[in-house]
Amino acid sequence: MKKRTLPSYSKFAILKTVILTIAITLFPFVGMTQVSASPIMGRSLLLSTSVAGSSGVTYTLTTSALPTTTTPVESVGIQFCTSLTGGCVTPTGFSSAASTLVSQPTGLGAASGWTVNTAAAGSLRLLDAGNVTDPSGAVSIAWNGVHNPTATNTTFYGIITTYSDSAWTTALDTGNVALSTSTQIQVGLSVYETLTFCTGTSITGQNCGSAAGSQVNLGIGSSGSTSTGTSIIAASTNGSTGYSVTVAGTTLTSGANTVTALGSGGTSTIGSSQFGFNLAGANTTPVVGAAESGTGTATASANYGTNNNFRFLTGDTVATAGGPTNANTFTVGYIANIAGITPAGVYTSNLTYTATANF
Amino acid sequence: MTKINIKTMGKQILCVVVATILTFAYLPNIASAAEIMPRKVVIGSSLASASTTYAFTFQVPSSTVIQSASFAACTTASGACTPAPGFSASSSTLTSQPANLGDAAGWTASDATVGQLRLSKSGDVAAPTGTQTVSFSNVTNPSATNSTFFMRISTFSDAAWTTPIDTGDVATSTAGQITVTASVDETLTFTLATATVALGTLTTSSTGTGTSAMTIGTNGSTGYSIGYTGNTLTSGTNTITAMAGAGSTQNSSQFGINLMNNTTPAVGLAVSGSGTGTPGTGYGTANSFKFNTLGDTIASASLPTLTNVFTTSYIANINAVQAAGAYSTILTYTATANF
Repeated sequence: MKKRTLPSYSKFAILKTVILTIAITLFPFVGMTQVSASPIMGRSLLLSTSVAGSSGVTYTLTTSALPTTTTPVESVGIQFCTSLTGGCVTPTGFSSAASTLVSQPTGLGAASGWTVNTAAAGSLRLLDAGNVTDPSGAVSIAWNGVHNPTATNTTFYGIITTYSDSAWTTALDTGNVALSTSTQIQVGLSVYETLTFCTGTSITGQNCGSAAGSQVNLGIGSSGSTSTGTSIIAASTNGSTGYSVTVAGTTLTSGANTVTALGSGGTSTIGSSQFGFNLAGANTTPVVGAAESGTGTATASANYGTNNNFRFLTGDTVATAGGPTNANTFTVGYIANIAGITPAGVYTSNLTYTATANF
Repeated sequence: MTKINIKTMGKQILCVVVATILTFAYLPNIASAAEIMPRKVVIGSSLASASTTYAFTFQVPSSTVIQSASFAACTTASGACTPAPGFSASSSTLTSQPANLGDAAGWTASDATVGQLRLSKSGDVAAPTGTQTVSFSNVTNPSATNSTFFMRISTFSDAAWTTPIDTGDVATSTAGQITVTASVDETLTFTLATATVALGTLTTSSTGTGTSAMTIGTNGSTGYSIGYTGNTLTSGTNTITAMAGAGSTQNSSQFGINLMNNTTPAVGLAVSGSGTGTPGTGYGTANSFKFNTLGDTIASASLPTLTNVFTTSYIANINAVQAAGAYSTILTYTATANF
């Protein structure tokens, strides 16, 4: 049998063959590295609302400076997919068909000339075929008119790619972002009609729960001085046209004897038979009462809001608010004078204040 | 093989049918009620437990003919109505026929439900217009003081308060009654301005005169009286004759007083002040003087009176035989108020 022998080669030839083989083997990987896009860092995609199915949503892309800074970008695309693996499936309901640019992008190259392309409903796109300016600095691009996916509480993804051509073909840099729709939380609260109203002789602030007392003792009348005392009224309402407070009752009475009510209003005159009150805050003759308090808008009625002018006429409106109002506390200042002939006795007046809210 | 109970199945089907009918009969009523606006209630008195009036003013949004309406007093504005404690419509009546609720007459109140004010008119065919007013009397307020409660207004298309048309709530409140008291004590103001009255040196041809003043007022229910006591002018055992009530006559022995503005002689002042006191009998005629050594009422008022100032005029005459001497008298005036 004839023995076959290998041809003899020089060591250099063998070395060349090995190097060539390695080169051929690695060639595909070398080529892949050359065409692969660089990762975009500092990327985020902000949605003006994450409510599923919302239309007119603004999508704002912001990134750090693009990694490729020596090649002008002519187009950018964000493709929206249900996952980052496998073929891209556009999230149901997502649409960029009505998308527009909120403003010209920044950091992408040319300051103007960028336009939206809506040809691909599953992608947000913009291009500037004439851009010759290299990207620089942070990038910001905002689209509005976007329709969110319709599935609620569902994650979807955006694949961001920049291109050196204006046809979204030759990729430069890329990066992914994850997004999600969410359920809109509706918080409900019912507010019913309110009227908080109380009377008494003491109150803490405007807290009707603290109202106490019902007796106002004016002391012993004298024809040489004026007797005084106070009570309080507090009220608030959400009635659309506010509230009014009226007073009903009789003047100071002892049996068949009375102290004359200041039915037309007037000043306090010592030695005259007089009974009246007001809600004014700075009476000096005599010194009685206190300023209205609280954050409400209610005011004393004209006949009962003037300092040193007192009045009592049953049925009168003593305080009003023209609209919904927080609570106010009014101090009612009572005065009584007696004449020399005012018969002796214990004089009493029972006054009932009534509030009417207007809804 | 499973047997089918025809009777049981029939009952089940019947139940489903009845439930369905009732559901659809009820739901439209709930859904159709619209909100009454504006609306308010004016309570005659907010005093807790008071029997008072409730006047409702509102505008219904629907033009459906109303045959009944109710006004329920509840502790809350929504949910099941918990009647406001103490509220009672048991004695309620219509203050007057409602306005613009439909027909102008024929409405009657129903007091069958304690917690609701109600009225109805089964034959009403007129639609509501404009602003409606419904007023009830003899309504008992809730018993809690300073307490908010809610009146739930409902209108119905039937006369049995069953099929609602429109609804609306108003918030209202009871309040505490304020009692103002003042005491007036009994008063008597009485002052004498002069302690000594000098009549000078008397002669038979002149009249000695002098005055004193007293101020008096009281709130005594039947006024007051002022009396005086004392002797006539006396010097030892000698006296000047007290006058029984007469004019001044020179050269005669006379001592008398009155409370008038006299001309013969010119002495005294008229009563002043805003009171109603008057001089007593014998002391209220100008130029007529009197002095009663037994005491007498010189002034009085029959009612409470403001103050008056009385000027007491004193006159003295002597005749030729009047013994020389220093004549004097001490008079005591006493005021008595009658309460």
